[in-house]
Amino acid sequence: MEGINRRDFLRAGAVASTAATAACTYDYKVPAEKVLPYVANPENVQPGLASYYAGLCNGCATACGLVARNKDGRVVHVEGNPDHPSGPGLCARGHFDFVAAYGPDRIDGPMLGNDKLTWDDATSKLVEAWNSAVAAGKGVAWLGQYRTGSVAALLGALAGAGLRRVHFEPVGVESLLAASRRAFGLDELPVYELAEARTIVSFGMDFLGTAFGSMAMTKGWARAKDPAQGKFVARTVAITPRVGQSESQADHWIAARPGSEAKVALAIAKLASDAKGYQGPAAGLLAGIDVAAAASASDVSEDKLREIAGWLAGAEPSVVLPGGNANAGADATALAVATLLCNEVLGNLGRTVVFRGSRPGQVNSYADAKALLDDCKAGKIGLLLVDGLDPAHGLPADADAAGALAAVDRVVQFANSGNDSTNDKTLILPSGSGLEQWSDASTEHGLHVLGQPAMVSLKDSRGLGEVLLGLAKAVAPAAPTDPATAAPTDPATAAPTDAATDPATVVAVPIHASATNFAEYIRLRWAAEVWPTVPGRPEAASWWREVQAKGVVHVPGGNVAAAWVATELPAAGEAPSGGGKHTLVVYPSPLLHDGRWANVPWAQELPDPISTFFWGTWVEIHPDTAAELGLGEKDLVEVSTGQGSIKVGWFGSKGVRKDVVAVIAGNGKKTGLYAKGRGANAVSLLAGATDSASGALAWLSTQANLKRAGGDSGVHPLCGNLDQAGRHLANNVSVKDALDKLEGEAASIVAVHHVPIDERVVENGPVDMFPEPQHPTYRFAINFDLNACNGCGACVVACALENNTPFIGPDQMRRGRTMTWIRMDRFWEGEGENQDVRYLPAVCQQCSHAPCEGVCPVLATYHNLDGLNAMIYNRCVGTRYCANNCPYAARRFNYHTWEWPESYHLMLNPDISSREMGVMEKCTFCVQRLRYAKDSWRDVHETVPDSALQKITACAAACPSNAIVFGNWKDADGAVRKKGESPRSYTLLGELNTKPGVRYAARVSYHQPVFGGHGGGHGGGDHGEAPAEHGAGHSSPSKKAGHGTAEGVH
Amino acid sequence: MRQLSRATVALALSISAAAGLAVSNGLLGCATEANAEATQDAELFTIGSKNLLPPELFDRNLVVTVGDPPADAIEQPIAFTHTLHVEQLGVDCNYCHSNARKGPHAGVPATSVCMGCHALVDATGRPELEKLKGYWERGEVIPWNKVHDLPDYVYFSHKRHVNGGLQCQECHGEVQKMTVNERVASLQMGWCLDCHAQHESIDENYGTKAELRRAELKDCWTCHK
Repeated sequence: MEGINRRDFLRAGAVASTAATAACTYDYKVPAEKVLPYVANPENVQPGLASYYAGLCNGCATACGLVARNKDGRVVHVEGNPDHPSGPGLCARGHFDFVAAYGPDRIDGPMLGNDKLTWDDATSKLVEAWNSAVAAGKGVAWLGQYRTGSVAALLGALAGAGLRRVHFEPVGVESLLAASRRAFGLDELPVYELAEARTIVSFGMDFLGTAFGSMAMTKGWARAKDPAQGKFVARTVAITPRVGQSESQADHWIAARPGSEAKVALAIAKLASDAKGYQGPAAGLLAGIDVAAAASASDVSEDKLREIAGWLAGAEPSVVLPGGNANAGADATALAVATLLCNEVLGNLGRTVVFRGSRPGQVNSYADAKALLDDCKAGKIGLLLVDGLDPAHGLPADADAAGALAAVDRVVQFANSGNDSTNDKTLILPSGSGLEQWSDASTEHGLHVLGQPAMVSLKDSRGLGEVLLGLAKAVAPAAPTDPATAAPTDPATAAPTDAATDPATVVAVPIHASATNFAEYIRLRWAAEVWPTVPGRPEAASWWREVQAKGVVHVPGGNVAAAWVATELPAAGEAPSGGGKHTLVVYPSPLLHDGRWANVPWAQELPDPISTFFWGTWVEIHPDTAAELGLGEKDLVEVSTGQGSIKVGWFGSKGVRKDVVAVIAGNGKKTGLYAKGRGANAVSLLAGATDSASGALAWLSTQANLKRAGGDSGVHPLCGNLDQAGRHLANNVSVKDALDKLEGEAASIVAVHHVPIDERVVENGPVDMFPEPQHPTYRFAINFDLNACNGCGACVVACALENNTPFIGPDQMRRGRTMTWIRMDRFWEGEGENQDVRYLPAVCQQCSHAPCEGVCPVLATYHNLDGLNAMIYNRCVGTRYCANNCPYAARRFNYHTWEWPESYHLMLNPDISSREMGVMEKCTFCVQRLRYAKDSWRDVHETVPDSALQKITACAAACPSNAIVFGNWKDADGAVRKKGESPRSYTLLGELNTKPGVRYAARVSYHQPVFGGHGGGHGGGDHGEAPAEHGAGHSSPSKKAGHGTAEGVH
Repeated sequence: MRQLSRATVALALSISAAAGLAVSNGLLGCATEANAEATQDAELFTIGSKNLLPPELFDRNLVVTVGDPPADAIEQPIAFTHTLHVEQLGVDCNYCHSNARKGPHAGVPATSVCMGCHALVDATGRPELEKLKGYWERGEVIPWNKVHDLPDYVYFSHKRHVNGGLQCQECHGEVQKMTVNERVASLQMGWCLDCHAQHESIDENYGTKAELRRAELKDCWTCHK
């Protein structure tokens, strides 16, 4: 090896092995790649630079706004639209909608059974089916998810031609809507404005997860809990049989007996009205309420009920949230009315409970859907159009959706692949992704969201609106009725006029007769219906351009003063029945929703916030029940009801009552590349009882028995530990401390763990073995506010999609080889009412004194000038020393080279390398985005301003509750510095003196302290005399009592 | 991505071979484990670890040449000459490669840019121009062969370099004199670092902060992604 240096030697080796691996076909001098320029360059598209398109999220019925990032022709990432009232931030389900666009099993063109059709064939078959159904005197029906906007308008036109519309979702809102009608005579949903609420009492609504409008509620909740924002901290009380994601953030968990919630709500209304001296229109309803009977029926003591009512009446305004799906029994409407009564009594209407035209379009109930399916079975329906639903999977066996669909002459499904409801007569019309087509939605008065194509369709699909427009032209060719509004003007050419201001006349205009395609239809409809409502009537053409750029038009207003009209309360429903020992709670998965995202592998792999299980179905059992059954960790449990039984794994949850078992829904599909055969279908256990007042499916109406079934369940938690072993990782502080100790003035109020302190350290401060790293321009830092984090997982999935992190499948996950760079740690302190579930998003802490760096034998990881702990994949030889030395377990080792299945590979972010076997990887603070920001700001400003950094990382951009803030610690006015200097701020395992760039702000709660939870620097439990924190980022009272330096993040 | 894997694996493995048995055993251990772990999900969760350690790699008698690769000319679908366009007709580099000032890729011009002039040039009897016209009329993309190709794991921005005052020729050679385009620089990391450590434009552009900028430019994360 004489005369050859190390680098040349390696290069030689590289050439040699490269040649060898490619079987000597690799010729160094002929690059394998072509460079393919455009034939004609599209306007505003520049190779290598991203384009951004505002769009519409189809993750659920809420219809939030999103921004799609298109890089070189493919959408590679989506984020929330900051111009939309629910943005910024995008929940995990919104990201799955984006992933689904690239699904490997998307079909390429219309299919009839196993035959591929052309679109001309398919659409003429559709029209034929319509005409022959009408000719045969049979019905034409629609069974689909909630729709608003132009699709709903087209369906309205088709309804005029005889279409029977049923809009139903398993995770639905029909009981809430029925309650509004009964209580206030309003046909709309209440909007819960949580931001100003001092007390939040929830009867199980999943307001941080699957509920309609959860993004806005999440933001409001986070604001209500932030002591710096409103100078108060909301107290949250959950009255449910099970602690789910939303309940996990409650300060008090009241485990009322399932089925008794409506009685509890009425008792609270009565007690609150006594406290407030309520004399309003609902006063007559309160007289007959028996608090003592409610207490004995619900297992909640009268004193406790009085205490809850006292919290509500004592801190105004408050809010009482209704039951969610999991809690919806045969009295769902009665419960919802009772919660509205509480709000009426407490004076919350118009303050925290607002009516402003919120509803997801036409809402039908489960009973309506079942009636339609019964008609199908009776042969009364000739054509059934199914949109977005999988009735055979999502409805109880009682509905026999598969049998009903088989009895229809022609079923047309708008779906991108076959599902459990597909049979060999089904005509599947692939409607593509929302990212590939024009769409719009309006789920609130004055709020209109526009979706536009952000990329060319990956497969031969045609949008739902486009197909419906063609169908409407064919079967509902109505002539314009009113000459004044007959020809709606195109905004591109329109001048402001006073015509078409009355929505009633506008709706009558058959726009579908004049529009040639769906994009034009949307434009004409917006010109006729939206544009006249915009204040000032802007010049139409430029207004339309602005609409496309922003993606949303919001004209606030339309608030309705709600006056109580109900003179009697809905009858209480039947208690859960079926003769089992346990009450069965079936709850929608926070990730798979009603099962619509079951075929998205990232959705399957993202750990459930409560159990941290993945890829499957499991039952939550109280640990005592598990002990009674003698369950082993891996045992299967047989859950049986009158409808059947499933065998699933189990999670011992302190957050379910002993007489309750909870099974997660969403899985158990028979079709789908990734969904097939995963877990079991929990909905199949339900009896199919309904809430008589609204026709809603009573999810909480069945009893179940449990039996140990042995075997290997195959489900497994990501976070096996519930407790923190006294390490002070996810910290709580008391509300009193948080409100008393003002930001910027007080020292740390977070009690942290301490190693025994050497006298010399107390005297001189800690001694570093290494010199302090230099950060001349930037010290990038991130702040996680645990008070706003609710463990939803949006950051985890956003990170995975931005950084090309693969899904690895259940087998590898069970081996603990998770690849996601953010690990959502879940700890669970407390018992009984004092359930204290704590989430901790753990990422690479970007330490200034990083334990990983010193042990790398090849310098693959080092500290850079921006304060980042850099990781160079090319250098890494996979010794894994760094991962072993990382106290935060933030590093991920590639045990394999993950190959991305066909069409998912198009989603890969080209700004990031894909890693492979033998390489270590970890969070980089999205260095590719920082690099781009620094490059683009360099021309106009010396450094990147704080405003451009705050939401720059994928996790920060995704966070629905604004819990993540990024920035430059050296910027003394920056948001991250301000947050990091809060008395609630601390570093993870600060006693190790690693000087991380990541800081956490402790959660503020009303919980009884478990250990060290009551801060004030007095170290609650285990180390009474210890100082607040080593290396804390805030001015310490004295040198002895802490070793804080001016630069909290080093 | 394919290129990235090849190069990274090659480097990683060559180091492991150099470092002796301990490390390479570690890697082999992983591979064996991977084989044993093949599950029924193998088709869904495709892993490419099975053939990453070909036996040829451990052939100690393998002969390789060390040094910069030869910069041979690469044949292109149309015999475009920079000599004619730049030197004789005086077209500015930025006219066709207009993205060089604006973004990471300088970009090969769209055919429409060629046709901006060539619509007015008679192609009759000139086979290369007829080819161009043919591509344009068929609406077909001209499949140019890449001459300068950086690995996919490298972030490189033309904008930063061009706006920093570098001449195209510093990296691409005397393109205006080339009838057939050639690569003159190795485009290897050491070649990049030569300038990142001491290019005169750093002093010109950053003045008193030049020292800091030089330090930043030597950070691996400036280019490696």
